[in-house]
Amino acid sequence: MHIPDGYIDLPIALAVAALSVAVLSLAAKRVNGEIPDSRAPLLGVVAAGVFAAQMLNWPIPGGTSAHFVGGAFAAILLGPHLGALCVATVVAIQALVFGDGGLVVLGANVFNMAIVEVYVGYAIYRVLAPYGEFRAAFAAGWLGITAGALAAAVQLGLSSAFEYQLLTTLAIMGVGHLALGLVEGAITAFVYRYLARARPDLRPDAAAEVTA
Amino acid sequence: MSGRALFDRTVATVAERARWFLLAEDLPDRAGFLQAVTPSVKLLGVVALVALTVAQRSLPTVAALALLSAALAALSRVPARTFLGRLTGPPAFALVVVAPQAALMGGPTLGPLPLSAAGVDYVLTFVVRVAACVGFLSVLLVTTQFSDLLGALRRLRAPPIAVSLLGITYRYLLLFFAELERLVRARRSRTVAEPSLRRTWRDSGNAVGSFLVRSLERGERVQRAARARGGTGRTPVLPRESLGTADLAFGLVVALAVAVVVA
Repeated sequence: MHIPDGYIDLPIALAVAALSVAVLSLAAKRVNGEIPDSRAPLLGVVAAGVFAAQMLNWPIPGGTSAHFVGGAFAAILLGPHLGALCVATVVAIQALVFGDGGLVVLGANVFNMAIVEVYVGYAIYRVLAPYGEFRAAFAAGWLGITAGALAAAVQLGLSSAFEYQLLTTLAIMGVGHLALGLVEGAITAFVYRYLARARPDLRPDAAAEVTA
Repeated sequence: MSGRALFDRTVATVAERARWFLLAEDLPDRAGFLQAVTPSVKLLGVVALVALTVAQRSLPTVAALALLSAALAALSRVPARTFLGRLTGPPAFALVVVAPQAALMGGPTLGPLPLSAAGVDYVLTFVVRVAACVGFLSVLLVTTQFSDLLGALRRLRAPPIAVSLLGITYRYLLLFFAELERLVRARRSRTVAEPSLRRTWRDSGNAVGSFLVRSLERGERVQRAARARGGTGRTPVLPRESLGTADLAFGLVVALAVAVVVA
């Protein structure tokens, strides 16, 4: 879902980047008023862990494999605000070190993967958790990534550089990610099940945010 | 796909990422044009060139900008294999994505083919535009050490906490790559019989869960250690940079490109 440069019109990329900066600033302020510098090591190290975890291949029936994205899981593990900052760091490292995604569209990629996916995933988890945490984690991963894809579809569909109409991009990316997102949902659920058994103290209802 | 093949694929992915990571640390040490440009000037210039490219809708213009990115790579002594290797993936994917437009767009067709001239022009322009943007980003990444890029972001007044986060994450990448590789190799060595799909998923869930919990615990240890040492997590104040001939030359290249394209 990393959009490279050249797909999205410059004004749209800049507007979404401004929105990303505003949301992440707000997230930083919601975490203890301001993120204290002493918290940067925790977030930075966890971001490196999430990045590495994305490289593990998961088998898919039919002979292919998929990988973990982890936006919704980061929100469940760290809380939505720290989760958004963590995934934003991962997305920025992917662009600035490995060239995944573009430079001018970095703000748009952060918006789709670190804001929409994380906050939507977390909201779904919180709403569904009373009916079963495992199922809630599955839905969070599944619908979180689908929401991120729909946000990307809106940006692409509104761009004159990308000739497909908005309804087409929404239909293709929405339906595609509703199917692909099942894999992300299943991975999120399996990883969550381990977390709930091994470190129940890290579950959101045990501690809303990671404490220093 | 067998469990062993799956482990091998993960190890290959980790190795590829680590190889690029080390290459991106090594190439900026070569003497070359962009290596001599001050990182903040280079970052601003490359962002300007990418922004300029994104706004273009004419094939000759985006082709000229793609050539400019190749020329910058050649002047910076970026190995052709590395540069072209970076340049193949995203444009090829872009071609797959927009190729149907060659038939969907209206207008006069190209001879007996069911493709419109406007559609083919759009597809080519789109693909070359993506290639030019990837080219500019690639020359930035392979001619600038990440620490210099972070310094440039600080100088350009990016939020200090964002720069700190990027720096810390970068520092731990190789460590986590190695840890993941060890984890996968250990699982592979323990795999005697081919596990079922359900078993593989359960084991992978346990592996990733334990890996992430260990990451979190390591993060907490690093955070406590930094606090105990009185570390603020911020990079020290950077010395002033004086601009040189290479900065002036690169500035002229960017200004000329903007002037020619906009005029």
